[in-house]
Parts: sequence; C-alpha cells; structure tokens
Amino acid sequence: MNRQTASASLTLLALAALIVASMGVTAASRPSFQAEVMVPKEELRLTAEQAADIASDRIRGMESVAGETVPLKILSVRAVAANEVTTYEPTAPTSDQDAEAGPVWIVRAEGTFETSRGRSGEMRVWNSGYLAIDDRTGSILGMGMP
Amino acid sequence: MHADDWASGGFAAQVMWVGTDDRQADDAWVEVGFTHGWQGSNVTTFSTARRKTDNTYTEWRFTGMDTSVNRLWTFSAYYVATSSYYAVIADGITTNYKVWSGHGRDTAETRSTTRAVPRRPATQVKSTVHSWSTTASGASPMEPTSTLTMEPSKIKR
Repeated sequence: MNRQTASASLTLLALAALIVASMGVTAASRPSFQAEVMVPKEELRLTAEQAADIASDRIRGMESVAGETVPLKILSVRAVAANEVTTYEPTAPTSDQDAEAGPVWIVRAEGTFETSRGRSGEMRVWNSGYLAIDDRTGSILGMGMP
Repeated sequence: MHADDWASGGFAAQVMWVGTDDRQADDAWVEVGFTHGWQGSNVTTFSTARRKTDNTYTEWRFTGMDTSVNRLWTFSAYYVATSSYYAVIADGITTNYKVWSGHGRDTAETRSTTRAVPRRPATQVKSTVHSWSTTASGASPMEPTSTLTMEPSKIKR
C-alpha cells in the first residue's frame, strides 16, 4: 500500500466513523416511541419516523404561537385504515368516505396543542393531543385534544 | 379569502357554529366551514370541528372537494337525538359529511360569522366575499328546522 492509498483509506475510515457516530447521535436524540402498523406495510408511503417528524414540526409551531412550552414527547405512532381512526381516537369524526381514503398515521404526543377556531377566537391550549396525518400526502387531516 | 400568516397557524375562515349539549356556542359546539390556512399549511379547505363539555376538542378537514371560491356555499348541521350525534355537511353535498358522536341535545343557538385569526407576525388579512347560507336543526333528525342565510360581509378582526 503506497502512502497515497493509505492516506485515502484513513480518510474513508474517518468518514465512515463520522457517519456511524452521527447516526448514533440521531438515534440517541430521537425519543423512543411506540410504533404500530395496522395496515399492510406495502400500502404505506411514510415511515413511522417521518410521521413523527411531521407531527413534531407542527407541535413546535403551535408551541411558538401559544408561547408555552410543554416538553414535546411522542407517545405513540400508529398507521391505521382511515375508517379505523375512531377505534384508537374515539373523538375523531367518522364518514362513509373514510372507506375509500388511504391509511392515516395517528401521532399521539405530550406537547403544546392549541386552537383559536372557537367562535370567540380565544386561544385554548392543551398539554397533550394527537395529529392525524394522511399517509398519501403527508398533510395533516385532523387534530384532537387532549 | 386569504390569511397571509398561514405558516404560523393563522387562518381566515367562514364558519357556522351550533351550540350543543345545552350550552352556548362559545362553550360546547360543532362547527363546519371553509378556511384558508390549515395546520400551518397554505391550504384552502372545508373543515369541521367540535368541542364537548368535557373540554375535548377535535378539528378535521374535508378532502377531495371543490374548493373554488366566489360561489354559494351551504353548510348544514343535523342533530340525531336517537344516537346523540351531529352530522355536518359541507358545501351542500350530502356525501361530504362527517359525524361527531357523543353529544347531548343542541341549543336553539346557531351563529355564523366570517373572521380571521391573525398570528404572529400580525398581517393584514384580505378576503374576497362570498354568499353563503347555513342550516341547522334542533328537533327533527335530518330535517333542518332553521335556516340562516348570510350575505357577503367584511371580515371582523
């Protein structure tokens, strides 16, 4: 092995170590949560981690609006058929259209959940809730509190 | 109808609220309406929400609907006493409904308005105007007992 090849190998090793280390940091920094997939996995476009990230971003957005910080903790992430959402979150609405809709991710968390959609416009804040995410688009379909 | 601050959760909406469970519409209600700004996204959609007397709150959007503006929208809410649920219908199309279960009887109070909730940073909310009508029922399941028609109005800040 000449000097140049050895140097390149060392650089590659260092890079590999860095990647492994950063993966470790990422895995360590992501709080663990319970994930369940109640639909055929091949039907899903998102992963549980992606659904959790979408929910976390939204909760942080509500946190900044409410000016309150409830420590964010993802409690569970479930992929379910649209017409099964109320099995896990009984406060969600139902509709015959649900039978034709794609899978829904339900992300339940502790954190800042707020709304001003009431008639008075008053902001109401809860310390926990859930977000329902459309697996096909990644968009938020609904939210419930607590 | 437009909310410049949709990214921070702001919205401009036209909504019908129906007081439920013998409460005022500020306290326990079901609502159905049309909104620009949804969950921090630049989305225009029909939506519905409800708050129960136990302080649970849920909001949901309708998908797959025509969200073009400058036309008549009809929102309806039906109370089905035998099963203690409300069915809300968006845009007058009966297939576009959602059912909210677990409500006691409704009040006679039905209110509707157009408004916008600005978020930080406060921005001017612009709105085109729409004609819209609302219906709500009290006693007879699936048969509206009152109708409210609202002419185009300015957004209240």
